Amino acid sequence: MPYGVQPGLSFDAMTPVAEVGPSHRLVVDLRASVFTHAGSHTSGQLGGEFGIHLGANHPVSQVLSLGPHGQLTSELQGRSIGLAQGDSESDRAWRGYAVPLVRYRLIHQPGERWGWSLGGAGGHQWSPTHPSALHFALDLGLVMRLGDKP
Amino acid sequence: MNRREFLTAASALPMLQLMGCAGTQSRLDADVRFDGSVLILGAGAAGLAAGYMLDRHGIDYRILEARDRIGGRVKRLDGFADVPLDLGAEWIHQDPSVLAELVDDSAVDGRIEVVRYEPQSISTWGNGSLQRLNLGRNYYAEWKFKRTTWFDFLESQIAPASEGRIEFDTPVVRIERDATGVRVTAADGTVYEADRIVITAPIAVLQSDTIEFEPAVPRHREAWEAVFIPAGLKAALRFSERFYPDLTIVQVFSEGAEKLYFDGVFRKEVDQHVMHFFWVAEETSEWTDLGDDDAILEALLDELDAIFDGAARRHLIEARVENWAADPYARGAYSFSYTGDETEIIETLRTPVDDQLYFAGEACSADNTATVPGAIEAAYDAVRKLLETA
Repeated sequence: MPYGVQPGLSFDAMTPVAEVGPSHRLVVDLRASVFTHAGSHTSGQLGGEFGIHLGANHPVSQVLSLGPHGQLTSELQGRSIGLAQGDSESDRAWRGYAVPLVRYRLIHQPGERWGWSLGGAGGHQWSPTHPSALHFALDLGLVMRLGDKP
Repeated sequence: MNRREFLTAASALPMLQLMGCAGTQSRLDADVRFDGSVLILGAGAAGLAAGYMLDRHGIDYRILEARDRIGGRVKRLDGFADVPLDLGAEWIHQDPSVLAELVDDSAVDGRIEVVRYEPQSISTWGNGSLQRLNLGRNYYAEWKFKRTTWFDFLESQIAPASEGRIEFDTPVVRIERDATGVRVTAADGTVYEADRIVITAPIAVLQSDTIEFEPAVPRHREAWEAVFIPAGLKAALRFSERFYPDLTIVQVFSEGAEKLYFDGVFRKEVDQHVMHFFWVAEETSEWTDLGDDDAILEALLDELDAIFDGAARRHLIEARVENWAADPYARGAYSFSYTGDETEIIETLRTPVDDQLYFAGEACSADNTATVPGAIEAAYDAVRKLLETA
């Protein structure tokens, strides 16, 4: 796995809050994610987004959303190497970031309850104590409709 | 992708690139069939490592070193920060557990602290503008010593084995060999004799023909002539304030080029602000040809002031330049590129000549050229071949 690519898992719950025309919905999307570069960084992200679900009652729909997230990262700072045996003790530190994200998702839902999605998000990791940096995420997801079809 | 590839890509266009680490095996064991004497040319990382392994196997040897110190292109800078800094080789380039593997001594006492060198703020400088958009955090990582240096590692762990066996200020001008052994003539006319020799002089020194081989070694000469060793510059600059990101990449578009300004005390937990400068590329000679260190420093400060709006000269306390090209016993940086098949060239360099001449050093590393671990591993490989041949 290339160093900068950190695999992870993300769970989200999207709830319609208002209708906009016959097939569009305003939605709130709550999301929790974890991702890691094994042995180096492990991060958890929690946040919510507000957006619009275009073509919500069609098999193929799209979601555009944005919103704030918080991120907590356990980051490897250094190691202590025992010269005799090569044993290693890690020195880690916690970092906190605010991460505003913009997200796009394409949802294909051929059945009543199940579908899949392909999405991407971009944003910025902000911190008062550490340099900020861009943040990108790609996700391939499984979609399950829990409520009634609109 | 290694650091060089990452930085090349990043200097051309800020983008996400990556780096991994690799481990290594212990290489100090040997099935010894040799019981003669050995000369080692050079007391840099490879020369000291060759001595370390020969000492372990009880072989009689001497090291001939042109300088008045050990280390070669590994050098320690004291006084710039609360901890010593590397002014020569700096990055570990492999998983730091390699340090224990290189020592390979379960009786040794001590631990070494290393920092994850993972710049958190990366800028690029090109076409007169500084790109501050920080794309790079968490996309590039290396390891560096925290409170010590590569020099300290060699001095404390590898060099003690050769205490009393190093002849300093002894540049070699001629290596002769025949059926009876090897005779090495130093610049002062002193002749040293042994059965075999391990040559760890930098490739650029071999290319300079300051060492005469009798008889000639045409295959090896052809190989070392095919290795491009660019000029190399490092510098340390201590400032009263910090005005720079963790890493500033100067856009240099030749392949493999690296021109970097970076925080020299990243995660070292010191109070001082020390920037390091590193430039190894074809274009480095533009500055090394300027003349002395003062002229190079002026060019460096001009560039830094252009990047950081005059902050460099405003906050400069002291600076030190290390010009590998001007060092007669280095004559350049390290193996950089090859004219021809790289693997074949390296394999030729690693092949002993008539079981008498053994070449070692970073350029002879099978897997890790241009690194200190690579130099040490190459020395262990050369000495193993030497020991296993009767």
